[in-house]
Amino acid sequence: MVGFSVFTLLMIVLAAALTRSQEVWRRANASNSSQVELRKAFWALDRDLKETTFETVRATTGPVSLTGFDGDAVWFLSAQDPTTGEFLRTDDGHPLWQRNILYYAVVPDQHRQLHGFDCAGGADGDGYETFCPHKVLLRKVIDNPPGAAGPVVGSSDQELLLDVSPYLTRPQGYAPSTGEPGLESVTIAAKNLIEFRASLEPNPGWNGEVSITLSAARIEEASRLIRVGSEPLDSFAQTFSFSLFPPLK
Amino acid sequence: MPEIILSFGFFAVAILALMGLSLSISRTDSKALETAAGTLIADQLMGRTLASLRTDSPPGSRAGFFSGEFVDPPWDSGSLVSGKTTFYYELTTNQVMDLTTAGPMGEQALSNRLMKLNVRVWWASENQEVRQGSGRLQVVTSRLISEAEVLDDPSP
Repeated sequence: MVGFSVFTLLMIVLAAALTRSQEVWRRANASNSSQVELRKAFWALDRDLKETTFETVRATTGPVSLTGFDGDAVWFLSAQDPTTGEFLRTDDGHPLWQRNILYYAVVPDQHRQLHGFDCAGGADGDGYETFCPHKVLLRKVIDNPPGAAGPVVGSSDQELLLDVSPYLTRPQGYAPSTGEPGLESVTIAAKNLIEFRASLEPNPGWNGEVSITLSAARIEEASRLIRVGSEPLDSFAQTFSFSLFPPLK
Repeated sequence: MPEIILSFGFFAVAILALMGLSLSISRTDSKALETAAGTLIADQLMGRTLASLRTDSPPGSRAGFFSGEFVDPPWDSGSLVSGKTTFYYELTTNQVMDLTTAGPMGEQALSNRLMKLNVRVWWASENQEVRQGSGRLQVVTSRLISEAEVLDDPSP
């Protein structure tokens, strides 16, 4: 009888240990997935912002898909040759601008088809949507040659976009949008993000700083404990805060 | 009877091993994420220090930076919050020595002095970088900074 009791107790503890282990594995797997997306976003931004100058970088709030801004939008001129990928310079060593590059976060349309449910959404104190963990970070390459009056910012080959609102569209699922003026390519730099925020020179002493905050959620873990898309994800968020310093001019 | 005791012992060891493995995975996962975030913060601090030297902000900081070593007290220290983790940091400087003259490398008159900037970021607690079971939770990075580099913007 004593032996049976001890055996039962051990089996209960073993079952609890197995359950806990399963949770840890799930958490580690979810954490790894979100870290991969954060790293992909970081490397894309890092690579592109090295091929511009700070004086051509602009930032604004992104589109509103649910209840607040999906994130921020950052755009700038790039001297990367769209064909060869080389950094092009003028004879006097200045960047030879080739294209506008735009990054912004957005909740994709057809959310239910992608994820099986709709995100209700919820805004934080700054007016940004922070409940939906399925935002995508889009990278758009846009050709915007200057008009007859010449560029306001840019060169004879490429002018910095003054207004990017026509480009801040929601993709149909993960399918790239088309039909926007001068749009050459759209790629998804990262998926499953909660937030993408950018600010230029947040402190006047840090000249030329592009400060970026990215966060992603451990979605698989969160989906077992809360109603994802309808509740705050603070307990499941993983954040990368970093600064990039493109050359000043 | 001995075989029953043996089987209980086996079960107990299996449970302990499973719990230990789970704990280890959990700690490793947290450490990997925090180390990545800490590295980005160290780079951010390095970039901000360079930017403030280039703009000499606050005024006089550039002259101060190259005036000598800052180890204790450090050049700068404080904390930054990223996500739910507080990262503590300390920036120290060392003069780069010229082995032939045994003096500091470069001259103020020529504006070519050379300093080594060290950034240490840790997050176990404010006073120590080691957490039991996780090891050393710290990122250290360094960079040489020449006076000419911060006086003349190298941007194209």
